[in-house]
Amino acid sequence: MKSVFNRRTKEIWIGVGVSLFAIVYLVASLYIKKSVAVSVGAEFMPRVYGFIMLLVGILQIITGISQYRTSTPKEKAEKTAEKEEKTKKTVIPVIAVFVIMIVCVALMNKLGFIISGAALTFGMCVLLTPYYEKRRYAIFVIFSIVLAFAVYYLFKNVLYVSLPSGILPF
Amino acid sequence: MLESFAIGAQVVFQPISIVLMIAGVIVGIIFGAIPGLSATMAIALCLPITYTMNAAHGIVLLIALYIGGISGGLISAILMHIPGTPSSVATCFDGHPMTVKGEGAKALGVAIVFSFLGTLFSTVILIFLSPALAKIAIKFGAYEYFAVALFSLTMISSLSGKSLLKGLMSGLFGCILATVGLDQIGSIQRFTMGIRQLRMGFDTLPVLVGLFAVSEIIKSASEAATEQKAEIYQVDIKHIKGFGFTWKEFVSQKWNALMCAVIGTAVGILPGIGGGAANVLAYSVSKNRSKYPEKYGTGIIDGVVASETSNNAAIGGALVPMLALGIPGDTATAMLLAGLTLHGIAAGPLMFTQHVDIVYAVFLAMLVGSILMLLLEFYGLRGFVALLRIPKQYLLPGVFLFCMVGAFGTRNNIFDVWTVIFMGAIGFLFNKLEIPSAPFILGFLIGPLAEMNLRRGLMLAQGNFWQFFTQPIATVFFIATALSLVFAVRKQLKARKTARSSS
Repeated sequence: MKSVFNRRTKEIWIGVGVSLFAIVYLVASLYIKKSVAVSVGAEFMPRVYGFIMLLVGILQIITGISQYRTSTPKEKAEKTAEKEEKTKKTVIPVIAVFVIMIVCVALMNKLGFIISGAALTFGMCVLLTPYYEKRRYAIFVIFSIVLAFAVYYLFKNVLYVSLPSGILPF
Repeated sequence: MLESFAIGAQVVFQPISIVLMIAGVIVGIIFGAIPGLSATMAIALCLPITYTMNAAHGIVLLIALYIGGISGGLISAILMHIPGTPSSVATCFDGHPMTVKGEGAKALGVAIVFSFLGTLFSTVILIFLSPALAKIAIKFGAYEYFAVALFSLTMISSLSGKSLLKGLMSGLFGCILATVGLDQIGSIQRFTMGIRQLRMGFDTLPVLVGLFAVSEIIKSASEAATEQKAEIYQVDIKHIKGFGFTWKEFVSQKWNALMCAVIGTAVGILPGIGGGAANVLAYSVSKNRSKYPEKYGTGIIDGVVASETSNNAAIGGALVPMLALGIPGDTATAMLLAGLTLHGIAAGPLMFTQHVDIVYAVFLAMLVGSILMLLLEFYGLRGFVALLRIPKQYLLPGVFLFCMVGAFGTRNNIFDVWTVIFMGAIGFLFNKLEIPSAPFILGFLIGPLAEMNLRRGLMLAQGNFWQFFTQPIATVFFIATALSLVFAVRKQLKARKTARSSS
């Protein structure tokens, strides 16, 4: 079965997502404590934003539907297939970059800036290397360690920004 | 005024300030020249470096970065046909064809000299306009500030690109993110979800860094798997005379340059819009008014002059509302504003009486910075071209590490680093869904200003909104807001009609 999530329905789904977000936001705004001292309370603007967002979401759905109707499925089929192939190739590096960022930041307080920063740099070096270039792992390792040390030293000792030292003694 | 300049000169002409400005212009040009890095990123990256400096030195460095960053984009636009920053998109149109024709050195010379002239023009406007505007703004109350903020928010329409709805979405997301935390009037918690760190709300620096820098890194990761290698053209600037163009050619561009400098400065003054919009607008106006529009795009200096004069003129323009009203003219000035806040200085009309040294240091830094840009960019061109070859796999992790430290250092809090990653994800998602990021920033920065002044105004007026219309300045801005909205809707309908008829 063909997925309902495709390029032709993308604009509709954006509208649906935005509308759902607006509803959740509006519901959450009901829980803001009302102040008695002022005529317009803290809940006023969130509700205004929420309502406009909901309206924008609905208009986006309508626009998406009209675009869906005017486009034909076979239109630019080859181009779409090519694009989807490209998207597949790019998904893994993007997810990997996010995972590396999240893991390294989560471990920063425990392991310290130098270790987590070096690991993060190494991971990014690997993932950001273009497909037509060779991955030089040894250079990546040296670069990551030197960079993390240099940044740590610069901020801790020159600019006096205290960074987590973690398990390392300095 | 002369006395104030003398106070500013005491800051700017210190050896340390000159060294900082040279470094700032060089780093700015590098960030501008390398596609994927921008002036905003350069300022974000160097903000933590200013922590230990005094406010004046810090702002002088940031201004130099800003000037270098906007101008640096011309190098890759001309030599690689890739705009280094959004401000140099239109430079590609004629700059690169000139390089292909063997006139690369001339294109670079023209672009650099007219970047300098654009900055100079807008600085003069800044020097005369911002104190005058501040004098008016000092009388502003809640009604006027609300009206100005509302008008600024309508600028979302000009930043929306193809879809007004998506621009609105982005702007509203920005406004919504800014509602998280304690509200500014009653200190009531909003959307904190029991997370202690969220009580203070999201800080500007991590939000901007995440949205612009981290999303770019993630984009690079996705491109690494598919993108083709970009070719860098070689240009011989060793054997050229002067800046590579004749006096006659220079004089022939005087009206074109003046017109584009005016456009750039005016676009810069409008809140939220900067060089990114100015260069494309100036290019199209220049083309439409030209006696030979058919030659545009084939490699003529008129196109390069239009783009480069206007984008740099937008710098001085963008600083006008930032200094006089505390409203950023573009994303880079939003960063500058964050920099001033870090040093405990609130931008706005009071700055012109309480921090004269800073205000006039900014003016002089603009003048000195533009001269440094002219000399360093042209004579150091070979070095900057060499830097274009630095592989991104080394450059971007370094940028991210600095971003992380910068975010961490603002409040010594790991939560701000999480914000950077979160905003990076949002920025990447926006990119994939073709939602523009610039309106988000406008909403995030101006939304709270609008809310605070609306509520204050309503308190003053005891709930009667019509009181807002009793103030002439506020009324003028309300009318401007209405006109801006009408134009935006009309433009959108017209664009849709054109699209339909062409399909």
